[in-house]
Amino acid sequence: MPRYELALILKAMQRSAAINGTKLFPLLFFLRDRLLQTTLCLLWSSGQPETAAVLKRTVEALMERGAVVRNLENLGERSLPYKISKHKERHRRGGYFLIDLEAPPSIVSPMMDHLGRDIDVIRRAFIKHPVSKTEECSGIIPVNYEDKLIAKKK
Amino acid sequence: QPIQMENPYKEPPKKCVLCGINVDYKNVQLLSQFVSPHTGCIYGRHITGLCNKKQKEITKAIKRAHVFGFMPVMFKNPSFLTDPKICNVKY
Repeated sequence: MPRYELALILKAMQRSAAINGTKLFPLLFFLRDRLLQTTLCLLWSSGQPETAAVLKRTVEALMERGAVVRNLENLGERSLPYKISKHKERHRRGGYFLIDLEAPPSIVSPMMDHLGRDIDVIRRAFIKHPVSKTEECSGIIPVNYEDKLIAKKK
Repeated sequence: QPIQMENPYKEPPKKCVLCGINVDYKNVQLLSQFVSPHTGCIYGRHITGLCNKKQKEITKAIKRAHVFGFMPVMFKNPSFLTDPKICNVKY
């Protein structure tokens, strides 16, 4: 199965002062991935249970359709580079998340549909996992302009 | 009699600025160095001085970052304005 990367921008939540952690923690342990558990626990404890809930349901939807989630990274909550209007709201801040996954190509379009219907997702993007290959970079080869000019046109 | 051999004083091929570096749409700071601070337009090859491959990669990455909501389009992110100058721009 080819590797994909899902770049998600989620709605920035209002900071909640009092968190009812004790009631909601048992829910988390139904998830199989430990990475997921740790990231969601961190989010929960830092006062953003809604973000954790969005991520949880996204990942569950992905796993339902047969994707294997490798890694979930939080790139932090920052102010967006431009104001984005989505789902009848003008957003200025958002939480950036990166999901590394392996999935069959047939789930890309249904997943984009599904994420488009979710109110808390501002922007979604599926990319083929970037393969970093920079070992064989030979420098700038000087171009012989004379030869190029006189060369026969194919 | 002179022996045929390749030039022993040959200089190693010139490398462009990004020759060993992996270009990603996520590191906005690197991408912003090749963008104008006033208009946000991407500099051409004669200004950046990059080789063919890297210029193409950078352009694609910048366009991706614009669409995915990582990098501003019409200007350069103000926190990256004091980055060292790589391009051959004359303001």
